[in-house]
Amino acid sequence: MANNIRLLDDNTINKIAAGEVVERPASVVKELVENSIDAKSDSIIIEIKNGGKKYIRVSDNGIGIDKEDIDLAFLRHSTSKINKAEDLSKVLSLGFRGEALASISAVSQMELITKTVDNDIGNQVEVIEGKIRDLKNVGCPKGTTIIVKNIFFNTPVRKKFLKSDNTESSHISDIVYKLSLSYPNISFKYIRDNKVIIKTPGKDNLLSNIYSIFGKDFTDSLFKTNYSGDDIKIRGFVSKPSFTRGNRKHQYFFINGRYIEDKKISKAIEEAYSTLIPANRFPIAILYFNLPPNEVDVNIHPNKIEARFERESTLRKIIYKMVKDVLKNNNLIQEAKLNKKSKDKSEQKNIINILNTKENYKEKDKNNKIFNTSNKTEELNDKTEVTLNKIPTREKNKEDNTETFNKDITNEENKIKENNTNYEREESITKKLPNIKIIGKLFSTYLIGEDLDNEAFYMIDQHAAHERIMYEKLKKQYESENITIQRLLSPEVVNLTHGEFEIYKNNFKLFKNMGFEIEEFGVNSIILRGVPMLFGKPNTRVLFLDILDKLHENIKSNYEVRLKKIMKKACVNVIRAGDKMETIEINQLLEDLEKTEKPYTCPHGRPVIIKMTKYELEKKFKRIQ
Amino acid sequence: MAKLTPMMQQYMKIKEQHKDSILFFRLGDFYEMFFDDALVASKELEITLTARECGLKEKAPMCGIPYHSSDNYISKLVEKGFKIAICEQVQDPSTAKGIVKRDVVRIITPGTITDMQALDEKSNNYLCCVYMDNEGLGISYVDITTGELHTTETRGKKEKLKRTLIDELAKITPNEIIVNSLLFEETVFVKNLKSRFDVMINKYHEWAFDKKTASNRIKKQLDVITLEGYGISNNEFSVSSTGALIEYLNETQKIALKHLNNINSYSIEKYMVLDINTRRNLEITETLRGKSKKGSLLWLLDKTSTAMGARLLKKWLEEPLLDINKINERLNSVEYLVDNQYILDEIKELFKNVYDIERLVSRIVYGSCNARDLISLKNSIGVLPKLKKLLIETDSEDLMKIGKNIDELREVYNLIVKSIIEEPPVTIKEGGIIKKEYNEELKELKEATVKGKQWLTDLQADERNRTGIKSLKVGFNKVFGYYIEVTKSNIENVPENYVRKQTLANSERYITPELKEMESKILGSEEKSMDLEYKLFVQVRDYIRKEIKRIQNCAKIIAKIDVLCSLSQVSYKNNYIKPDINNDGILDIKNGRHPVVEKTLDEELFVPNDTLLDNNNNRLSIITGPNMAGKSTYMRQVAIISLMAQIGCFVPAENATIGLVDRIFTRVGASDDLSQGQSTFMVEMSEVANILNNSTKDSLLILDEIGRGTSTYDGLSIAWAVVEYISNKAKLGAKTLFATHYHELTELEGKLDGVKNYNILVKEKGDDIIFLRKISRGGADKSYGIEVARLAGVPNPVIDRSKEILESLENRETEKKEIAMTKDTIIKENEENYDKNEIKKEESDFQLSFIDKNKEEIIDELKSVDMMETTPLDAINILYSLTKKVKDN
Repeated sequence: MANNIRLLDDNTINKIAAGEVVERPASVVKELVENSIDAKSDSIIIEIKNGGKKYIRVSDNGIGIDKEDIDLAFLRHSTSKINKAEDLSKVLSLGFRGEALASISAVSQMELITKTVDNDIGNQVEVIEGKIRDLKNVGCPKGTTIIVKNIFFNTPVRKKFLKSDNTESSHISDIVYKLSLSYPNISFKYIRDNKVIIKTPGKDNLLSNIYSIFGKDFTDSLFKTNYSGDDIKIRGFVSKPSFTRGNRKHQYFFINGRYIEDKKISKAIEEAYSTLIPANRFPIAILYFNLPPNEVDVNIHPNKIEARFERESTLRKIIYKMVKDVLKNNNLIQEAKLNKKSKDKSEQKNIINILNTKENYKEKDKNNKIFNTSNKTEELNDKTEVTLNKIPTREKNKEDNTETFNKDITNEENKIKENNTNYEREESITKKLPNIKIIGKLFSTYLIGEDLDNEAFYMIDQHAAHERIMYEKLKKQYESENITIQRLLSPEVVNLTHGEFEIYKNNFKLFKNMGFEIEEFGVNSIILRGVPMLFGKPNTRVLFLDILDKLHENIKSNYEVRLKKIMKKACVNVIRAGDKMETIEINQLLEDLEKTEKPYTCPHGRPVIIKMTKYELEKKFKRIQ
Repeated sequence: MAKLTPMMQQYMKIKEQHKDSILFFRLGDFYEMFFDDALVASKELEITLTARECGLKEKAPMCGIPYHSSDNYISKLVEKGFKIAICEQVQDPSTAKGIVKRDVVRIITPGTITDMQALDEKSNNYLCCVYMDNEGLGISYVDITTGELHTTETRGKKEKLKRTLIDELAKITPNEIIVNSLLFEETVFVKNLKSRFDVMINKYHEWAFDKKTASNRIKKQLDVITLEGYGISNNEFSVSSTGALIEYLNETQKIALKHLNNINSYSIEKYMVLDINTRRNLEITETLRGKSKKGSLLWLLDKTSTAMGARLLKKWLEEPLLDINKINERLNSVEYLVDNQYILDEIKELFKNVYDIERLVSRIVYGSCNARDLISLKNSIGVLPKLKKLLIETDSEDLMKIGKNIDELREVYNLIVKSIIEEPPVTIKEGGIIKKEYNEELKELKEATVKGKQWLTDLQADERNRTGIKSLKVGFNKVFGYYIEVTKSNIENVPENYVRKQTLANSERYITPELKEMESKILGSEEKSMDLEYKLFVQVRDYIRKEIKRIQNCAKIIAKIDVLCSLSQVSYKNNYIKPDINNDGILDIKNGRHPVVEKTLDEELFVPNDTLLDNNNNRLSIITGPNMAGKSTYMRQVAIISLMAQIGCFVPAENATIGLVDRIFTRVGASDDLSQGQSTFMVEMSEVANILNNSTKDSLLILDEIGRGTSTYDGLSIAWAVVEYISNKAKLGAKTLFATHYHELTELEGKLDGVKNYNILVKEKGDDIIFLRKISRGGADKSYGIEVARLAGVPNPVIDRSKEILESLENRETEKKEIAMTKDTIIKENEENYDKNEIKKEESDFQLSFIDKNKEEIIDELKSVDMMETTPLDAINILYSLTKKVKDN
C-alpha cells in the first residue's frame, strides 16, 4: 500500500508537462515561431509535411544560440526573457515561461541548427526525448533552424488523438495566419507538403501583408480604420457590410503584437454593424491595439490566447465609435487602397459571402459551413432570432475535414438522415419520411407540417421537392432505358453556331439516350422532333440550348457526370417553365417524395425538408432554459 | 525508246531546280515523292513505298502523304536535316487544259519552319547567315515565326573572328546557318561548328553577299531608300550577311514577309560578353550535364505567362546589359512589382488571356491564319487597355512610361469583335466564321437559309395533312440532300408527285420538284454565304496585315512586362534584394547565395557567403580549400549574381553592390571540348589564352584550378604567372576569383598588389572532415584530398598508402618553401625571369632522392640482420652504427 504513491522520474514529468504546451503539431509551430520572433528575425520559414505530424521545420535568420547556451535551451524553465517574477508585468516578448524547447523535445525527435552572427561556424544537435546528442559543427546561415520529426512518437496515446493531416494542417495554417498578421514587419514563408502557401512581404505594410495571406477578394472588402488616443492606439481594418462571414474566425485582434481572442472586443465591433448586416453574420476585423503593457495581463493560460486589461469598458467604447464612424462615412472614407481597381467585380463577388483564403478553397469553404452552424448553437441563448436549420449532429462532422466538398453534399443528406433515424426505427425501415400532417403554406412556397408523434414540425420546400421527384423519375426512366418521348407536332429547327454544333455532335448519343429525338438538318442546324415526355411542354428550344451551354461548361467531364448535370438542369427548367406549384396536389407530392431515393435534398444539394423539434421551439421562446 | 509521261516530264523539270530538296509534288489530295526522294522519304517517315507508271520501262518508285496531315511529316523530315520543296497545283484543275500547272511555292528548311506544333514556343527558331572574309565578320539572324531580325559585325584577324563567331553562335543557337563560300571552304572549322552546335550549314550564292546587291535587297524588304535609319549603312559585313539572309528567305518562302520590317543592329560590345564556355559553365539556359533547361538559371527565373515573355527572358539572360541606366530602369520596375504584389497578380491574371501574338502575326503574314487565330489575337490585344490603365496608375515612373507607350489597338480589336464569330471552326472556307450582322448581304443570305428551313418544316406539317400520313417527315442527309420519308406501311398513300429516291428497310424516301427547288435555294445561299464569308474573312485579315507593325510593338511591350513580372515574382518568392549598381568596379556582396543550388538543396541549409572585389586592394582572390568544399559553387555564385544584376533582376543576397562587368570569363573543370580531339591540357591552355587575350580590367574572371592538367611544377609555374599577369594593373587588373590547390600561391598576398587569400573552412574530426562551406580570409593549410577520396569511396588500402606517400612528400615541403622564398626575391627583381628557379628545382630534386637512397641503405642493413644469430653485444653495435648513419645525414 505504501508503495502506491511515488515520485515520477524526470522523463515522465517532462512528458506530462509537455502536454500543457504541446497539444498538437500546431502548438509546436506556434512555440517555435514565437521563439524565432523573439530572436529578432525578419524572415521566418515554416515548413510542414503530413499536417506537421511527420515533419515541422522552422528556420529563422535571427540572433541564433551560442554554443554554450544550447544545453540550457532545452532545460525546463530556462528562458532568455525574464529573470524574476516582477518582470512578468513588462513582458513584451512572446514566449517567457521557458518551456517550449524542453516540452517539444520531450515528445519528438528534434534537430537544432544554429549560428550566431559573430561566428563563422554553426552548431548542430540532435535532441531525442529531451536528451541532447551529438553536438557538432556545421556550416549554416545565420539564425536558428529547428526540425521536429515524428511528434508524440514516444507517447502513443497522444499520437492516436492526432487528427487527419488536413485537420492538423488547418490548425497550423490558423496559427501561421495569426502570427504573420501580427508581425507585418517579418517575412513569413509557409510551405506545406512542398508547396509554398503563403509568403508575406515583411515590409511593415499592413495591407499588403493581409493581401499576401488572404488574397484579393478579402483585401478588396476592407475599410481602413484608425484610432489614436493618449495611450491607446488602434489601427487596422474592418470589412464592408456586404462582406461578412458566418463565424468569428476572421476577427483577428492583436494587443501589443500578441494575438488574442476576446469576445468583448468582438461584441463592440458587431454592435457597430447592427442592422447593417444580417443576423448571424459576422464582420471581418483585423485590429492592432497598442496598450500600455502594465495594463494588460496576458499570463492567464499557457496558450496565452486570452488577455485581461484594465479600462475595458473605455476600450469597448472606443472600438464601437471607431468602427461606427468608418461605416457611417462609408462613402467619404478612402477605401482600402488595393481596392482602387476593379471594384465592381469584387463587390459582385462579395455577395456570395464565401471567403477564399489563398489556401484550399474547398477545405475552407467547408470549415465555414461547419463553424457556421456550431456558432449558431451558442448564439441561440443570447440572440432572439430564430435559427431554423440547426442540426444537432453537426458536431461530429466538425472533425471530418478530410472530406471533399462534393462529399459534403452527401454528408448533408446523411446528417438529415441521421436526424430521422430515431423515427425510422420506431416506424418502419422502409419509410423515409415521417408522418407529416400539412397544416399550411408559407410564402406560397414552403409547406408547414407537424408530426405530433415526435413533437416536431417540418418545413418542406415545394420547388425543391418537385425537382427531386422529377429528377429521380427521369433518372429511373433513363436507367431502365424506357424514356417516353413526346413527339413534337411541328418539329423545331435550331440553328447553331459551329461551336455548339460540335458540342451537339459530340454528345449526340447522350441526347438520344435521354429522350431527345434530334437529327441534323443542313449545315450547322438541327431539327428537334421529340423531347422526353417528362418535361411536359416546356420551351423545347430554350431547354436544348441551355443543356448545350451546360455541356460546354463541363466539356471535359465524363459521360456520367455530364448526364447528371443535364438531368438536374432539365428538372430546374421543367419547373421554371412548366407546372405552376398550385396545381400540384400536396398529398401527391408527399407521396411521390416518399418514393424517391433521397428525399432530403434537391438534385443540387439544397435541403428539401427542415425539421425543428418542439423542444427547440420552446427553448427559443424561453419556456425552457 | 520509252518516253516519260507529260506529268513526269513536269516533275523532272521542277525537280531539276530543287536538287537539294525533297520535292513534295501535289497530286490531288496527296503530296507524292518519286525516285530517290521516294526511297529516302519512305524510309525516314516509315511510309509505304509503291511505284507508278512513268512511261519508262520500269515504274518510278513513289510514296505519298495526304496534304491535310502533311505538317507532321514535313517537320519530321526537316528535323532530320532535309529541305522540303512544296510543289502545288497553281491552276484550278477544273479549268485547266492538259496538265495542271504546278510550281514550288515554298521551301521549308530547319530555319524556316513555321509549323507551331514542331517548334518550342519558349525559344526562338533562328535562321542565321554568316559572312566572313579576311577582314571582318557579319552575322545576321532571323526568326520568321516572330519577325525579328538581328545583325552584328566585327573586324579583326581571322582567329579572333572565328572565336567571336563561336561565342555569338553559342548565344543565338540557330537551327540553320547559311554562309559565304570563303567561310565554307574552311572545312575543318565548318565541321567543328556543325558538330558543336548540331546544326545544318550550307553555302549560299556568292552574289547574294555582294555588298551592293545585299544593300538593295535590304532596302527593298524594308521599303526604304537609305539604310541610315537602321544604323547599318556603314557596316558592310552586316549588310552582306543581312542582304543574303533576306535573299534566302525570298527564295525559299516566295511571299512578301511583311513582318520583317525592322533590323536590330547591335554591337557585340553593347552587351556583357559571355563566351561559349562561360554560358555553359554558369548553366544559364541549360545544364552542363544533360543539357536540360531544368536546373538552369533560366529555369529558375522563368515564371513568364506568355511565350513571348519566355523568349524575351531567354534573350535578356543571353544579353546582360552594360548601361547602368537601362539596368536601373528594369530594377526599379521589378522593385515596384515586388512591393506591390496585387498589381503583379492582376497583370498575371490579364496575361492568362494572351496568346503568342508574335507567332499569330507571322501566320497572318503567311496567310495561314484561320478565324480562331484572329479570335486569339482579339483576346490577346483585348487586355491592352486594362494593362495600360494598370501601368499608368502605378507610382513607378518606368512602368508608367511603358504604360503610356501602349497602343490599345482598339480598331483592330473592334473589327474582330464585329466581324468574327466567337467560336469559329478551324476551316475558313466552310462558313460559320463571320457574324451575320457584319455584312448586309451575308445577313440576307443567312436569313434566306433560315426561312428555307422553316418552309421545310412547314412542308412536313402540310404534307402530313394533305396525305394523312402521320409518320411522314422531312429529313436531310449529305448525299441526297432534303427528302420526304414515309414508312413502308404508308406507301399506298404516297401522292403522285413524289419521286422515289431511296429505299430503306422500313421506309422510302422521296423528293418533289418543289422540295428540290427549295433545297437548291437553301444550298445555294449556303454556298454563296460560305464564299462571301471567306471573302470577308480575307478582307479582315488583310486589314490586320496592314497593322502588324503596331501589333508587333504591343507584343514587345507585353513580353517586356511579362519578363519584369517573372523576375519580380521569383525575387519576391526567394527573398532576393535589389542590387546597387555602380560604375566604380566595386563588387560587394553580403551573404550571397547561389540561386539555383539554394533551390535544389533539400534538407541541407545553403550557407551564404560574402564577396568583396574592387579595383584596388581586392582585385584577385586566391581561394584555397579542399575539393567538394564548395569553391566552384561559390565562384559561380559570384558570377551569377553579377549576371542577374545586369539583366535587371534582384539578387540572392542580403546586400549587394554590383560594379558593372563588361565580360565574364570562366575556366572551370573539364569541358566537353574533349570530343574535338584535343587533350585536356591543350583545351585548358587555349581557354586561358582566350581569357588573357580578351578580358579587360572591367571583366570578371572565374578561374578554377589553372594548371592542373600538367605536372605539378609546370602547373604551379603557370598558375603563378597567370596570377601575376592578371593582378598586374598595367597588364590586366581584372577582378578575379582564382581557386587553386597550389598552396604556394597564398604567399602572394602582400607581395602582389590587390591579391587577397581566402579559404573555405573545413573542420577535421578524426579521419573525417566536415565541410562548413564558409569563405574566410587567409589561406588553407592543406587540401584534404585523401579525406575527400575516402568520402568518395576509394578503397582503404589505397587511402592508407596515399597517406604514407603524403607524409614522405610533406617532408619535402620544408625544402620547397625555401625555394619559394628565393623565388620571390628573384621575382621582385625581375618579374619574368624564371630560369634560375628551374636550376633550384633540379637541385632540390637531387637532394630529395638522396634522402631516400639513405633510407633504403638502412632498411637493407636491417633486413640482413639475423636475430637468432645475434648476440646482445652485436645488437648494440648494429644499433650504434645505424644511429650514426642517420645522425650523419
